[in-house]
Amino acid sequence: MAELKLKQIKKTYDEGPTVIHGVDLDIRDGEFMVFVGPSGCGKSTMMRMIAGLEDISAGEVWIGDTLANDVPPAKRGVAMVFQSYALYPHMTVRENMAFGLKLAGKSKKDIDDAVTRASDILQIGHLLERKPKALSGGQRQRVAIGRAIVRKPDVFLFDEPLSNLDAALRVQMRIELTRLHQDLGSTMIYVTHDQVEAMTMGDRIAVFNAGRIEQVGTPLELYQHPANLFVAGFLGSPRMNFLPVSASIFGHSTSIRLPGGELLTLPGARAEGELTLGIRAEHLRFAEHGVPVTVDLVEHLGDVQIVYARAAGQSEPLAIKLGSDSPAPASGSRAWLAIDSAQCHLFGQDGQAIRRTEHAF
Amino acid sequence: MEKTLPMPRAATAKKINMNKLANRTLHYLVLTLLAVITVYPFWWTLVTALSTSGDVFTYPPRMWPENPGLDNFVEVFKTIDVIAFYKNSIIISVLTVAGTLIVCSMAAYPLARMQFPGRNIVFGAILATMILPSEVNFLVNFITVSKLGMGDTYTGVILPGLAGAVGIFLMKQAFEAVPNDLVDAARVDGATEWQIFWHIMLPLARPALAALTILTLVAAWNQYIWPSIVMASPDKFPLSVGVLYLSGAFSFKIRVVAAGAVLTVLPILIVFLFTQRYFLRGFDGAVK
Ligand SMILES: Nc1ncnc2c1ncn2[C@@H]1O[C@H](COP(=O)(O)OP(=O)(O)OP(=O)(O)O)[C@@H](O)[C@H]1O
Ligand SMILES: [Mg+2]
Repeated sequence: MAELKLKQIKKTYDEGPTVIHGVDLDIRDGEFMVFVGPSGCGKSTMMRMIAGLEDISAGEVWIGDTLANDVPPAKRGVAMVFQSYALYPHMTVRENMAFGLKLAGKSKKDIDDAVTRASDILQIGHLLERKPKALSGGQRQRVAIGRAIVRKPDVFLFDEPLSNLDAALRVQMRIELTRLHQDLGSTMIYVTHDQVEAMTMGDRIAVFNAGRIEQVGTPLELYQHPANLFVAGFLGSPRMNFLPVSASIFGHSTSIRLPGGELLTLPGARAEGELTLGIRAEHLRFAEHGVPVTVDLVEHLGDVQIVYARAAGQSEPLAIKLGSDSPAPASGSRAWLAIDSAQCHLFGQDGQAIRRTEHAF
Repeated sequence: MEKTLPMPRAATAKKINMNKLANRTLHYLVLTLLAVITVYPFWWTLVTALSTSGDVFTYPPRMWPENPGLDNFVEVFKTIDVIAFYKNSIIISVLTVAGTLIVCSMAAYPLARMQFPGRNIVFGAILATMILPSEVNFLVNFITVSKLGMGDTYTGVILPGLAGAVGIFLMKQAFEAVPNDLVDAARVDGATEWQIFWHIMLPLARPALAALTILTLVAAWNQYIWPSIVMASPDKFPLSVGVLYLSGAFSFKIRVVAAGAVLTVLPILIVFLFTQRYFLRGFDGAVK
């Protein structure tokens, strides 16, 4: 069991660009922390630095009470599960799981016990004598997780562990991993590109962008109160709609002129000038009047419908989420959108969210 | 089905088939010719060794032995101590193979997997040695071996050939093909550099090791000039050198020399036949 502290971590590759620009993060003991961010933003690099596979250019990694910068990987009490599984192809499942313990000089009995326990948890007992070649993707992933478990690490690192699995298996493994976290109570760091995994598995999410952390918080905090345009646009599917608006202060509120001329009052916000209004697809609905739009396309996803509609003069269509039973306008037709002012987000020119005070509602 | 096709298309299809056939026939012809050219000298030697009468140099050459028998082989065993020579050949070949595998893979590992200044220069220098024919090295190697007091020893024959560019290249390719994640996983599992080499890299490079084994075995078994330079006492000669006593002893008996040659190549041929699968597969991975 250990907490993990990252202090001003920087990473510059030899003769390469700086890919991590000062990351600060405290991960609590037993916490399930999810890293998300676009491709190439440095998530894997961060994980590899925590695991000790990559030198830390500047800053400190604390694992428990130890400054881990110069501790070799095996001594850090971390285990890593790779996207490619990275099972040793010439060893059986049992040998794969036992390898680390064997190197650590554990007795045969201890090793057997640990392997048996881990394979019981993951239900791979019947696969122990097989080679990785003879396993399905899901089974390989289980073995990779098993190899991590047997070492009883304080911190688990998962780098996109489920991305090579099909949709059904992902859901199953997601649930199993969550249960595993509850059973073991270890600290876990989990990189994913999957919105659902991020929202459902994490105690907290850290959103990375271009080598920095944009925001850290619980999934709902990030979803409901994104700190900036990047986080607002990154979490949520379909992504949040953005509209350029001009705003003026009006007492304790901000008055906003929407495309089409209608005025919207946002209580609790005080900002003026050219701003960006953010509103999620589920907080838009069709009404008798409001922002005039032309419907581009209707996607029926079974449980919901996503309508894409364009406001006059806007290049990006707005997404509107409707229940599957709600009548959706036909594509090509004209309609009006009502905006729920309580659910609006405002972002300044610098992309930072303009906080709205609660008491003004 | 062909009848339902419109005429022009059927015609083209047939034409393409004919082209394909002609092409393939040509391929087979050329390959067969090459095979015959390569194999014929061996065949001639075998025929000569098995014939017990007739003129050796008839033209056109004989395709089948005349009065086939093993007399010439018996003669070989009477004239020279074949068993002792075999023993020497085996000692030299086995030690050469073992040494080459160890030296080449240990030289190739850092070149393939570690970052250090001058890495490319070192590798370039190793490759550059491939340009020189090995005969050029005989003089320098002979002086070195003599000065080290290894003249007339197995060590003297074996040592200079161990670090070969081909072997290092082959092993380097094999090590580079191992996915990085495996090495990282082993490192997190607590493996030292040496343990990664031993438990992960070498087992995964097995096809390349097999290829290198056979390659080295054939070369070591057949080498003639170098051991005859280093070895002074005939009782340490490998078979490849020893068979020469057959021609020098009393008279020039071509059939007996041929039988000696057959005895020399036979073991290596058998080994090769049984292992060529690995040999080819090793190159498969290495050249790609
Ligand atoms: N060994 C290396 N040398 C130089 N640059 C590297 C090296 N490894 C990664 N990078 C660079 O570092 C940046 C971050 O890479 P990283 O693999 O951490 O991204 P990531 O967030 O994990 O992306 P993805 O989601 O696609 O896995 C990238 O721009 C990448 O090109
Ligand atoms: Mg990555």
